[in-house]
Amino acid sequence: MTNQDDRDELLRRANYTYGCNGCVTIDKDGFLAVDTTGLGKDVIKATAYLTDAINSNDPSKLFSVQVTNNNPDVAFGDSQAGGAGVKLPGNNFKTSAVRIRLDFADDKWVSGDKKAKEAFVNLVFAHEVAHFYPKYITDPEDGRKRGPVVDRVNEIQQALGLPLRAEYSASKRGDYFVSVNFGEAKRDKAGNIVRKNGAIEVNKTNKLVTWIKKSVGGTGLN
Amino acid sequence: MEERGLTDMISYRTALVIAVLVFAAGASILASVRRHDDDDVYNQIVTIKGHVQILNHPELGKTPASGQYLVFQREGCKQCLVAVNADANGDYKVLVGRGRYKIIVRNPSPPTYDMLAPDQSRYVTATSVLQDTQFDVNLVVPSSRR
Repeated sequence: MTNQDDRDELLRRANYTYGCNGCVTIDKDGFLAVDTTGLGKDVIKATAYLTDAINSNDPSKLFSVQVTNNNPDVAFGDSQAGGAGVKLPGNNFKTSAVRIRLDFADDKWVSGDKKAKEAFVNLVFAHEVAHFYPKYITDPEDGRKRGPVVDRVNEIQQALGLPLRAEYSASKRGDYFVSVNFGEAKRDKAGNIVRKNGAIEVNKTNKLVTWIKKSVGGTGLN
Repeated sequence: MEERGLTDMISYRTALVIAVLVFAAGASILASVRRHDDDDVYNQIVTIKGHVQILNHPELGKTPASGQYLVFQREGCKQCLVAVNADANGDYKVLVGRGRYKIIVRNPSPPTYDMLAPDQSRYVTATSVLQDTQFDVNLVVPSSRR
């Protein structure tokens, strides 16, 4: 990533994901690094998979993050095994990596609840990493469900006090718009978060994130 | 007559004691060599290993599929799944029960797609406990995703 604005925006989003101002950095070789010192234990726990993925020195766990603004094939972000190559410091060759593409320009077509929108667009990177690390997981076939990827990222949103995504897919709203429902953690009478198979159960709260489907592009959500 | 009866009784008792001792010793020996049912699982474990490569990597051409996630599904048992990551060189090794396995390699992010090369065998049969089963895996990235 050579464009400074893109690097700055990636860092802004990554730091938002940790609820910090500068805990995520890019080193001289262009690799992301995160320092979780001083972060709340809930945030550290919820972001553990992401922190491991970012800070890992394992050459078999490589990601290449690319910004591809206004790409008609990408709705907010996508990811692909073996889609890119990464040159590690000290190597004179590239190693196959997971390619993550982020389309920051899609943000301008998004409206809705302020906090839900923030969570939605800023945590796309966390969503894409969750597909691959620490193991592969997929989105649900039934888009009205959340699936393990959304559930994993919802843990971060819960730790940050953000609205939770209540479903994976966006539903049509008229001819041009699609929306994703957000909500809050379901709680029992004692106030404890209700979980099912380890995932936070989400009650929809009429918080929507809406965008113009044609303008955002892609083949659906990634 | 009484003397002979006494002798017979002593002989009978002696024989009984010996029989009991022999039985006890035999039972003890049997118990020591009887195998637990679970002992057999060790001789059912086989090793499948191989090299994973992407034939048409968009940047690197033919290249090891570093870190590639492979899933092995036992034939006839959808929930019998074992997964392994290839290492940085694209090599993997997985220990499973003897049998025939389907290999599943898909991109997990939408649009999901099959990554196995068109001529890649989708099944591997592993039966030898002593010899590893070599099963190399060739992958492709669809042209529409490059």
